Amino acid sequence: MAQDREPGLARLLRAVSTVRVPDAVRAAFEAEPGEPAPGQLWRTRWDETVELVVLLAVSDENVLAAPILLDDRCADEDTIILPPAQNSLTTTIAMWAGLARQLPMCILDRQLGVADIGVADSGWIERLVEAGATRGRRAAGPLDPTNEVQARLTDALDYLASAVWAPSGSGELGRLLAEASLGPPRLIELLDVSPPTALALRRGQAAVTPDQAAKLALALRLPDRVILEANPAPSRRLVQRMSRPRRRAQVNRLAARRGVEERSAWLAATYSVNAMAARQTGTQEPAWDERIDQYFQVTLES
Amino acid sequence: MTTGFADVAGGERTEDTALRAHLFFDGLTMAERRLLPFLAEPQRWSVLLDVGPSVARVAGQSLIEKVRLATVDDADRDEMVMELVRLCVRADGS
Repeated sequence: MAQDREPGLARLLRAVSTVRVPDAVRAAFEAEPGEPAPGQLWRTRWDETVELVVLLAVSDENVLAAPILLDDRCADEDTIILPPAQNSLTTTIAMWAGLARQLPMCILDRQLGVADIGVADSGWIERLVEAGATRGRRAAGPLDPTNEVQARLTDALDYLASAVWAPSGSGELGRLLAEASLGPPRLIELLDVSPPTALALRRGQAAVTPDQAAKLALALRLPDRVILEANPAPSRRLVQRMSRPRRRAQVNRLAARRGVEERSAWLAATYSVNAMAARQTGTQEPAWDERIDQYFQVTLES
Repeated sequence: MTTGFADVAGGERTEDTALRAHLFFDGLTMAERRLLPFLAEPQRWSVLLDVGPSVARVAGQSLIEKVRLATVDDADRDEMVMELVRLCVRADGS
């Protein structure tokens, strides 16, 4: 058969060309990420781990989310299988409700759509089943592939739950540098950083990277770890605001523009906003979203 | 005194055990071959397979069940498992 001789990639491309992504999904995926809300379907991403989830509850820092799969063949007995009519992907979704857990906001990457699941009401699962959803089945034994799927999702969610991008240091870095008489000129020379960065480090408004901590360790005669632990922690409210999906999209654009890793861009943006706010507003809690908007206007539109 | 009959029967049984162990071994994945000698040490499964703890647990339990089903009602069960361990260790070292 001619199809048997067709190269794998060509077959894949031909198959993909026949797939039609629903307009609603394409629109949701390409739009700027909005504010997370219960019932939304999201792609989560942290390092190499990527999972699709449905949001069941949203707080300032976390989301309660259940993983979803577009393949319902290995769904366990706690999994709710939503028919195409109950979600905007217009395909069958296996919602692993038994694996729902709190995940940090920063892992939300792209919104894919919404599911009509009404999680605000108690007894929502029963109502979904009454409306046409079905349940998976109990694993038949240790060799049932359902176990493997469930385990893979559990490990992935464990990894996503551990995601942290903001440092939680003591803020003693500025004092350590002052005690060692390491001023901006010496820091520029020692760490090969720009004058504004050296100034921010000296004032305790920026954090050192592990590489920089290793260089400082010799000058300060302290272990790297102690120096990293002395990094300033940015305001918790600022970290909350910077962890929203909308900000992550901006951070990714910044990372692409500067050719750096996402995590580096996240830290650079956060410490810059933190430093700007510290200079401009004194001790009152700054209007973080305005500051962040200003920062990205300057860095992304210049 | 050992009879010739007993010698032949014992030898056949050993050969049969080795053959069945080989057949079972041939059907194992590379990950299962790596895991089999350590089935009694579940705390090492995750590192050995380089996967998360849940996936490692399922892989280990699944392999234990496979071995159990392959040796159930088998008089030479222990010998066959020992032969499997030898084959897996040899394959891992080669």
